[in-house]
Amino acid sequence: MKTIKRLKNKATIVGFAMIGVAFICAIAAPWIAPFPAEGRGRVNIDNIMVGPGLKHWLGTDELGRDLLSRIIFGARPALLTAITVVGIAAVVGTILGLLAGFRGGWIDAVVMRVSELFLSFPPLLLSLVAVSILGPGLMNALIALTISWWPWYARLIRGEARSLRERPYVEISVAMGISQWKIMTRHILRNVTTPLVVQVATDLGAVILASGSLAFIGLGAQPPLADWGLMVAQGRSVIFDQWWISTFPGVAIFLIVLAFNLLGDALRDHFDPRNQTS
Amino acid sequence: MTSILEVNDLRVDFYQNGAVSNSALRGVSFSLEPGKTLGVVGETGCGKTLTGMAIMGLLPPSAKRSGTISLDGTGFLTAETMASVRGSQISVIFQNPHSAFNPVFTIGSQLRLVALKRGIARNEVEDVLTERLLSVGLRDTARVISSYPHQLSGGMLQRCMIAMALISRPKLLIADEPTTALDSTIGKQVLELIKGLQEREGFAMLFISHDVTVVSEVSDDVAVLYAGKIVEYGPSTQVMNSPSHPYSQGLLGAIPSAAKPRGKLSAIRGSVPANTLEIVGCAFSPRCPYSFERCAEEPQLLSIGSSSKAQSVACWRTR
Amino acid sequence: MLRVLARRLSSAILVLLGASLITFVLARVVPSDPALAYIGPKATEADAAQLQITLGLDRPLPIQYFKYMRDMLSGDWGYSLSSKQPVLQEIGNRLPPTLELIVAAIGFAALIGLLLGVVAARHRGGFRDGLIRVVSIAGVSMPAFWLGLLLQLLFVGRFHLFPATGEFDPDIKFIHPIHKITGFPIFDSLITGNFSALSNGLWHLVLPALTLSAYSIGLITRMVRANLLEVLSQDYIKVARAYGLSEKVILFRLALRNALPPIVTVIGLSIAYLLTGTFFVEQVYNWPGIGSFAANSLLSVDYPAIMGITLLGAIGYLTINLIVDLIQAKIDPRVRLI
Repeated sequence: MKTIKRLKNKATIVGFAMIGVAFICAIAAPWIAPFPAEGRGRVNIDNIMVGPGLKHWLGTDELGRDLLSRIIFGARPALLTAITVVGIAAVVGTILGLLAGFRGGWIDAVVMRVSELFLSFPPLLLSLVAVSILGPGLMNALIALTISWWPWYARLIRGEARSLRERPYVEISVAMGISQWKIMTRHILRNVTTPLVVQVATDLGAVILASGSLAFIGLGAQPPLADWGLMVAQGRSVIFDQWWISTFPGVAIFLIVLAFNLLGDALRDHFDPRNQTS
Repeated sequence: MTSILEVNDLRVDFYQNGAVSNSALRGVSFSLEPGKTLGVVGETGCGKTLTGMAIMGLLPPSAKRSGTISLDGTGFLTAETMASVRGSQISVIFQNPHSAFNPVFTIGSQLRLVALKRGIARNEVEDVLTERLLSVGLRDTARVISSYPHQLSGGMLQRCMIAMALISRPKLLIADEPTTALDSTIGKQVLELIKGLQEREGFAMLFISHDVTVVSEVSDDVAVLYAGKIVEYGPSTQVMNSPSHPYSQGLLGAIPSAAKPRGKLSAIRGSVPANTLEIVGCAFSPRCPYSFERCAEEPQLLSIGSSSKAQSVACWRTR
Repeated sequence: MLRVLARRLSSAILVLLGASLITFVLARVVPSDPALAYIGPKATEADAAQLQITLGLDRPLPIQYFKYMRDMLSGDWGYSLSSKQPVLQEIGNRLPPTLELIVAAIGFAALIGLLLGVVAARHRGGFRDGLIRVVSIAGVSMPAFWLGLLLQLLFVGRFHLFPATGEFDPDIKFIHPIHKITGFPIFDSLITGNFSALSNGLWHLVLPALTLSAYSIGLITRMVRANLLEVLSQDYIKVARAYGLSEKVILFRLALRNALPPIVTVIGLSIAYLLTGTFFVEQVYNWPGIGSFAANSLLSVDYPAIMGITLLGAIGYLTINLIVDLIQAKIDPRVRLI
């Protein structure tokens, strides 16, 4: 038990630290990045595909731009996408899920049928189709991901709300004539917070993974934006010779997704009543 | 007569980060003769179930047992010998029959697994199962054998549990609240069944319950457990008729009795201490109406009265 | 059982109807001018107007949807804009290699996931558990496209152990041509005894399958571990111990069987992830399957192909869920199909 506990605590701290670093990079990119102009996309034709070294710690890409600067700037679209998509999906899904679960009746039927419809496609397929039709780009990828992400929240929250509705204290509140909105916000919202928070933490990573995948096949962020998935794609053709161009941006995606997964795990363990020691 | 089970100074300590975090059993001793029943009573958290589990060698990994347990005069049980007598010489019936049977296997396949483990020959297994199920009062044995647990009622499942426990013809049966999860009428039937089977097959029984009436019905001797210690021990009728420890009195007083219809229900105020490490002196004294200075010291379990059949009590008031 | 299946299928048809509606809306309603998308930006307005009539785009939407459904049901899924081939034929040609890849990946993931999950649960809290935890979290955090490149870099570029891309060496079809029987190239080379092609195909399969399975390995491992631990804490396991059954019997014959239903569910879910996973992995390995076809169609906004793929995805997903439910009913006596 002790090994795993120590490991978990360490892992949680490492996860938090990595997320912190990513946020600092995103916010302070122009001051941290060694070559901020190149991070924004300025081409440096004299420095094409230089290997990792003292001047360019992680090397330069096929347009001579400092990879480290690009990766630091890449934290911006990654975190922006993750927060926006998960934020909107969670808010919309929660509202719809609460309405469906608590009000029941036709609202429930409509919300659930629609989300079932969205969930009847393999994960990510609808987002891919939507972004293809809307046209490639970071903004459209963001919209497309949000479209297919909210039903998960609607279903999760609706299930929780339904089981809570049967609880005595909610029934008593209904019987006492307290307004439904108050009941929803007071009792139900407070009780669904735990599964919601855990889901949000894990999904932040999942969205970064998804938007990276979109960018990789060319449907997400477009050049000259410094986006990790796009950078992996750009180095693909020279992977055997200039390996660093694809490898390091991929490491960035891997680490941030890992960090959010660790955070999600830590939260799940923290909220799990079975782990609460008296 | 030699006793079938001899438990001496049994202690169970829970460890956390290398240090004792709670002593759940703090030196429990008792003995049990063949064919007899010892009832163990007490509130939830007194260590009743743990006593049974310790005898079976089924404590959680964070718990450590000390003290001695010997079965049938064959010497002290170690972890290894416990594993070998578990399920053969000692059997157990659990409280909730619904959770005690594995939901994805038929009753038959679960009984069969136990029977084969007990060395019953493959071609005899079916006969043994049928015979055992008939002996616990189940008539439609073929249907029971092919049923999944969720298809049977709680009473039927508990009968199956008893049948399973008795496949190996054990010398000792540990019955851990066998009727608590059942309706009271069904519970009574199951209790009758257990008593009848005990008469026929002659096993000794450790009967664990929080319900004093049930215990008094089946037991020859009674041990009242409080905070991991026996506070009163003696022949069932004697303890029931003249309880000497305030805790026993409280437990008995808490029974709504037909004899005193308007009598006050003296439910004991307060609750069992969660952690025995904090206890100073008599564990019951914080809840005891008669508590006095002496109770700051720990009382020993001593016989009151001179006859060999007398009960023992751990209370300064009886000195 | 048959009646249950019929009921299940009818509800599946409802879902498919809904799915077809979504694809229809995406392809015909959302884009401002589908006809323009058909003929490209260089067409004149007259061309566009003519095409509108040819494609029936001037008709009211419900009629368009009706015609679309009729075409779909009669096997006319339209022509791919980029390859000019019928979409259904294109799908038929490209489905077998993808299915072979998926089967290999899920088989691999289930095997490794079960193994790691059981070991982790068995040694809960120990060193092995910790190590497996790291591996499984890494698995679900790994971008498949990047892992594909890394594996190529390592096993192709450095150690020259595996071929980089493709399904077979290009010369295989001249030296050891595969006779088409089922259309599944690796399977066909197996049943025709064409072992040169078989070993070559399997050789090409290793890296893509491994790449595709990484996420599923993580997912399955975590699920197996969590469910085994849950089962092992149940009363009936305590009972089994009390009746002297050995730990081996308890773990493998009882607990694993109890944990099977959620494991089957997560394997089904994994396959669903693999379906879209192939889009990226096939790109990296130039695998001639549905995935790379899908990625290319999405990039070139090839509407008929996209619609076909979307519907195929929904059918595939539905089929997996149906199979999972049927297996579930088979292995869990408490589950009743409704």
